[in-house]
Amino acid sequence: MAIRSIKILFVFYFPSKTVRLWEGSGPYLDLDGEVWIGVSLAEGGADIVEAAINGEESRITVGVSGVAKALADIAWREVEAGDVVGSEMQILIQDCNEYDDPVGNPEVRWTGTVDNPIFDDTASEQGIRSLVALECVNAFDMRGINAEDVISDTAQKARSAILNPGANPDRVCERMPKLNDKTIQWPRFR
Amino acid sequence: MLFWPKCTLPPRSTPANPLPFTRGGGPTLGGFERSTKTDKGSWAIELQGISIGGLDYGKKRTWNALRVALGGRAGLIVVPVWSWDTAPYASGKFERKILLPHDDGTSFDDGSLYEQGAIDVVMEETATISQNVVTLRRVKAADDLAGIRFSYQHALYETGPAIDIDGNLWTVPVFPSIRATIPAGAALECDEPTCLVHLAEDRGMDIAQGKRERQDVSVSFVEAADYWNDLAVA
Repeated sequence: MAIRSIKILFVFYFPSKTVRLWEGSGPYLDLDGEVWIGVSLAEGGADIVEAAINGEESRITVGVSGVAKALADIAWREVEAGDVVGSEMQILIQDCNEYDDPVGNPEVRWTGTVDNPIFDDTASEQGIRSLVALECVNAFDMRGINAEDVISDTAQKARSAILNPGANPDRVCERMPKLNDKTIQWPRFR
Repeated sequence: MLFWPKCTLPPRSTPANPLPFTRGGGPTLGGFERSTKTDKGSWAIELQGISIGGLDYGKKRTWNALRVALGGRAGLIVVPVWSWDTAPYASGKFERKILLPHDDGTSFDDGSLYEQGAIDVVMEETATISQNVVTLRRVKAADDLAGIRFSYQHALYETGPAIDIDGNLWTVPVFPSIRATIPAGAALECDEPTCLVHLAEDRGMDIAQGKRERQDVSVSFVEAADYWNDLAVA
């Protein structure tokens, strides 16, 4: 029988705790005995995640609503501790049978690291909407830099620290600030 | 925990319907749409036609007290999900709850008696969190346990078509996925199932005050799935 039921799972490996979330209502106990918390992706979140699964999007925002206890507390505490950025996160898909029971192991569809946590409050007629979102990036994020971008010395040193952590910082752009006000002219030939 | 005062504010009808979670890519030019289920879903419950007002001030005061206690969407309340029309009574028609005194014929201090549901259905095997197929044992109930409703610790469930019937043992899928563990042998509430819910909107209990005429009001709730999530990770 064709798979007509799936579960979309999100796992965040924070240093102090692993947070497991899935796109659903109630709790979900997987075959390994881990409990996943049911959340609903915030508006727009699902579209971006779908694109990320296809490898098209290198930067995704996992915005979840109704998760106050589970993610907000952890995210906030970890932000204060300063180690939420860089934590690994994965998106997995679990196939289910016709009774919605899981079949086999979930497949990892996307792996990335947390880049930036966002806390956003929006007031509307329905009430105040509090959004907790984690911006996550994967290795393809580097691809996003355009050819005509200005690369600063700090940016280049930060990049080199990620790409080649053991080595000395990349000094190729150190002279950039000095060139800032220079005008380059073609020589005049007579 | 807050309970809906079912005797003071009885609803005329209680539609409790599933909110399934499916997603699709939108219809094709041919009009077809392929949808995939990402969760069974949760309950949406409405208490319709609650008669309040007139000269019965007590009802309005109860209503006000309830909404103070609820405090908007965040509040939790247990509502009755009356489903006499689908309850599996052994006789095939409505039966009252069984009330019994002590064996010498006396009641408790406050005049109450021992109470037992007219329907007796128990869980045969332990049902764990997010299980989707359960086995029920029919002790005193109608000869058909498909499409009935039951609750356990205020989590409401509805059964689907039978997968396997072995004497009194019925293996049935349930909606929604099991919210909290139901141990083997646990008695399930089939007479008056209940559901733990939140108000669907902050101002869901607005009514006209200072009005002499009787009014019929309705209030919408959604299942408090967040409560079961917190319970599961606690």
